[in-house]
Amino acid sequence: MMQIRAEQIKKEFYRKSKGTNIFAAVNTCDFTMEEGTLTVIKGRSGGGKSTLMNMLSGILQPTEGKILYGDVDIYSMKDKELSEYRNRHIGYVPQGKSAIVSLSVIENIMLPEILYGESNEDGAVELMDRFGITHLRDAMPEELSGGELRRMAIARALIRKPEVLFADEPTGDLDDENTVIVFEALREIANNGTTVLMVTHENDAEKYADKIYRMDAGELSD
Amino acid sequence: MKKTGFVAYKNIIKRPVRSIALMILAAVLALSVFGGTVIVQALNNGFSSLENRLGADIMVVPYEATTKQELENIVLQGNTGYFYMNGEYLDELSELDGVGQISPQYYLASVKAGCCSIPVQIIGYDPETDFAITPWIKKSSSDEVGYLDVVVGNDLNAFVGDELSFFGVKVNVVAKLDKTGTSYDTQVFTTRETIQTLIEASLNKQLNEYANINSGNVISCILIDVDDTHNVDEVVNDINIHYKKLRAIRTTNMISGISDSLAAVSDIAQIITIVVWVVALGIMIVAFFMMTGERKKEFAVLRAMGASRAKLSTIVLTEGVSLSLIGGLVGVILGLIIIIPFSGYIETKMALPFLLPDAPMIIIAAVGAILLSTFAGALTAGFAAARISRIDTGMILRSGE
Ligand SMILES: Nc1ncnc2c1ncn2[C@@H]1O[C@H](COP(=O)(O)OP(=O)(O)O)[C@@H](O)[C@H]1O
Ligand SMILES: [Mg+2]
Repeated sequence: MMQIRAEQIKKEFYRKSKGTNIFAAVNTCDFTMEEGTLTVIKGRSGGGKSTLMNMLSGILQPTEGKILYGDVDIYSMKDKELSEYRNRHIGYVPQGKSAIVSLSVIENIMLPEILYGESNEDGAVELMDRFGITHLRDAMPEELSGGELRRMAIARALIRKPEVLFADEPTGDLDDENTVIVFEALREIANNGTTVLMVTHENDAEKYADKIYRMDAGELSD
Repeated sequence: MKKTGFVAYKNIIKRPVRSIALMILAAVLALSVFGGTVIVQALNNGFSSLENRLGADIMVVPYEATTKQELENIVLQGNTGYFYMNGEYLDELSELDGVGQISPQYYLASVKAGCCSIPVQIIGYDPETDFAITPWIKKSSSDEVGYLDVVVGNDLNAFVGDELSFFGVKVNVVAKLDKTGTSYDTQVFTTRETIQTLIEASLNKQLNEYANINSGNVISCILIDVDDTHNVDEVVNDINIHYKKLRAIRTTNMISGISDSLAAVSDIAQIITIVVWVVALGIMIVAFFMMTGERKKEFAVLRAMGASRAKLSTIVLTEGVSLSLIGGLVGVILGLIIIIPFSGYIETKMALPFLLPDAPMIIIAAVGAILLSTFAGALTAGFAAARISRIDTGMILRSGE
């Protein structure tokens, strides 16, 4: 069982704010996710949700504290090691449009494999099928709708069969129908044993969550 | 199996305008270096060939010739002036102190030869005493250039064994010269007796080409090689003081003007190359910086997918190196297409001796130019790669757009 644990993490940025140059986007907090659960973080824009998620997903080093994946302190690794660790264990669905425009849909989905010279169409084909974008296999991202792009991004985040999946406002630019598709997909992914963390504004998300947090002005609360 | 390089490859293919623009810049870099090197080298070769060719230390011409025509032109352009002096001077000068080898030449106006589309210049010389033309003979069918035999310049479309006809007189090509990069390349050389026959034939045919020449004992110029015990300037002064109707010129002085223009051309080539490099490199750096700005989000996504900073750099460098490598190749090929076929044209336009370097030198210049432009591409891409690898992934991804 792999638990993800943040111990006393804090993120400060250099920015003029009330007399000091330092501004805390995320105040010191602890945070835990159990395997196969779906956690939702809600809150107003600018509250620090993305900052927290980026720290948890290994792309933003906390100013203080540790992030543990099981026993592994991920920020103790060097860039090369941590990058490979992210590639193999962590899926990440970025906010907004995140397609590589020069790659076709299937190539985008295989991207995490391509980066490590391990591409194999089978997994991508299966995921396209699962997210209903098989017919778009060789299409270019510019030809896709917002919902299709998001499903592609989720498929891409899952191609390495990660233990953990992060999704930053995955329904931010989607209509209701696509929003439901995405929520259901994330729920199903969690049911299959992947630990999922989702940041969202949508109130509907609560229905799908095992655990809900709020994040406002850098303060995390239940 | 697709690898990291695939991302670079697709980006090149799917952004053809940007890729072609960068390739053209690299091509311009390579072309300027390659073209500049080959042209400057060809000029230097031509110049040393010219120096050799002027194996003569001194050239003596009728006094009025020096005002009639630029002497450099005589040597380079083959625009031989039709000036003549009494052949007895030859005997007189050969008696002078310091005169080692001495040989006369006779210039004839252009005639249309059956062999060539261009008017050929026929130069009469004395194979017995000659020391300026004979060393250039590359291929010959007989040891002697006799009556009605001719020696042809390298660029002429006539070969050893061919028969040519001038004014109805048939002559045999017995030798062909090596490439000299000078007017020798388009001239025909023959004996005094043959020239005499040709003049008479042209008069008989009423072509009237040489009506002004009295067919007596005339020559156009005398070439002198000073013996080792004497100073060239002494001999020149000696002739100029004692023979008011003649003018002796140190051949190295004759070509000093050429050497000056050569230096100027080299300088210009260098300046052009530097300007081209500064401008093209500047554009390349800007282009790569714009590209990295524009693709920041993509690189952040790659990073989130598990690309290390080193992998991002690899992608940018792969793009830069492949584009500049291909561009460099294109530039060099363009250079070859332009310079080699047009070398004759360049020669006449620049009015400078032009002798292309041999194949190994051209290959070295080509490889060097490609390496340099590739290096330039790698360097500019390197700046961009350094910038890209430092991107703040978290910051870029949180902003959504
Ligand atoms: N790299 C950064 N430099 C400076 N300030 C930042 C940086 N990243 C985030 N912030 C600030 O931290 C705060 C929280 O941002 P973010 O985590 O993106 O909020 P949310 O995702 O909840 O909208 C914002 O005020 C934002 O401007
Ligand atoms: Mg956010």
